[in-house]
Amino acid sequence: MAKNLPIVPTAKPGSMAETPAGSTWREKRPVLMNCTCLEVTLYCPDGALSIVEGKVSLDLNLCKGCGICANECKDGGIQMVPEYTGAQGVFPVKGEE
Amino acid sequence: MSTTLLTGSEAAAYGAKLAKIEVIAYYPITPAFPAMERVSKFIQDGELKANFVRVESDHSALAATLGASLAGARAFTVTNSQGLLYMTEVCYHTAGLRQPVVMACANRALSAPHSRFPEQGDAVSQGANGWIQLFCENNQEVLDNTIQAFKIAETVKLPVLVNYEGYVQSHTLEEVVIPDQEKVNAFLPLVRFKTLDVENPQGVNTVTSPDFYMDYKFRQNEAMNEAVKVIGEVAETYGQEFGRNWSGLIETYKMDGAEHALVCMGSMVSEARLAVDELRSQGKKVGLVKVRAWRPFPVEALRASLKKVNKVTVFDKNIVYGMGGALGTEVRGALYGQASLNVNSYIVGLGGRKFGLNEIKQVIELSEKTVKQDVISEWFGL
Repeated sequence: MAKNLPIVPTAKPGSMAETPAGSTWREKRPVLMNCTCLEVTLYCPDGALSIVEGKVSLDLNLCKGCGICANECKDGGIQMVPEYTGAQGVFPVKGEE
Repeated sequence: MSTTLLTGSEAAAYGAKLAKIEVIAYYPITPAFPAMERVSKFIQDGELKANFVRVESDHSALAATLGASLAGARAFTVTNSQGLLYMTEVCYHTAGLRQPVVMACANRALSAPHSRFPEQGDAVSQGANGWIQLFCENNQEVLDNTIQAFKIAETVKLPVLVNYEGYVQSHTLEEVVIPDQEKVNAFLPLVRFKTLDVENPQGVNTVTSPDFYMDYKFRQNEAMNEAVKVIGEVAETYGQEFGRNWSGLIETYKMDGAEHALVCMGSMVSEARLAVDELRSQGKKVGLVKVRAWRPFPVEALRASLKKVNKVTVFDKNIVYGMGGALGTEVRGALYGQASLNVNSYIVGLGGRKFGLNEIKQVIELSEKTVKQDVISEWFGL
């Protein structure tokens, strides 16, 4: 018996959050330093950035690590850092090589 | 109601206009472009209130049409051959997303080598993409099928491809009856299926796990099975309203007492009728089965109509390399285990090679003398 599904394959935003696919293969993740330009939330293609109580908030369950936010942030307040660093890492941090 | 001379492409445009399409996205291609030109003129003259989206490729043309459909608009586009191939990815999206998009296709041979001449290979290449496919035998049917296509599409929620042959139909003037707008409005009221909604945002075409993908595909195929019934019902209602019943999945012509049945689709049907008339007048028991809907494939209807004949001759204006004509293969499949009849399939008229009344009669004669046991299609007219 086939499952009862909606006619058009759709899902509510955030449906993927329960299985954060990105966390297993994301190479870098954004770290919010001092980002105050709230517009940066508009650039995230995965809805990982949102505004919570007037501040930019990041949901790493949704983040695929594309780095668009770091590129677009007017303050330069978002930095992409490697998921793995040091002895086990393949993406050395600048200055720590 | 008025009667006028129209080419097949213009007939498709008139059908779309009468269906009150709201969005058309189009990229020019020969020989389908006159349909686009006519639609753009309707819009320019204020006869049709629709949004004409100019795009940079056929792929984008269908993508924009699909987007419009997801937003709830009645959407239409036109293409053929290479354009249809370029759209292939979005064809699958449109069917999988269950959008009632209607597309007219002026069937043309596929490259390489490059050809601009008629053939059904482009439609056949899309035989697994999930679209309902109707083939039209003349320009009147192009107009009528375009209107019916929206009704079918919106009932079963699948896209429909309306095929008519390049040049043979797309650039040939025929007398076409244009139905009254009010009657078409009553036959085809605007029903919106809105998936995109700013009040209730949804991700469309989301990543689907093995837990669900197969079930979606089952449902999609069920819709195709439902279309088997719906296509016939829509043809019946249309016939009552407009006086032209193009029958459902297939139409039988002079099959009473026939021992030898011709099976074909598209413009060849018109000439096959003439061949049957001529042979019948000579006392030969020949009949014709027109395949109007190629997808869904009319398995049951073909079995019923061919159960009393002892020979079937299939004309295929396409070639599936390494297997033969698509229609011939599928007719054999439909009849497997049903009867011990002999199905001869012929590859004809590729890339505009002449296949008219005389050629049809030659193939019939050839087939009468041939009893084949294999499944390979013969090439005719080399």
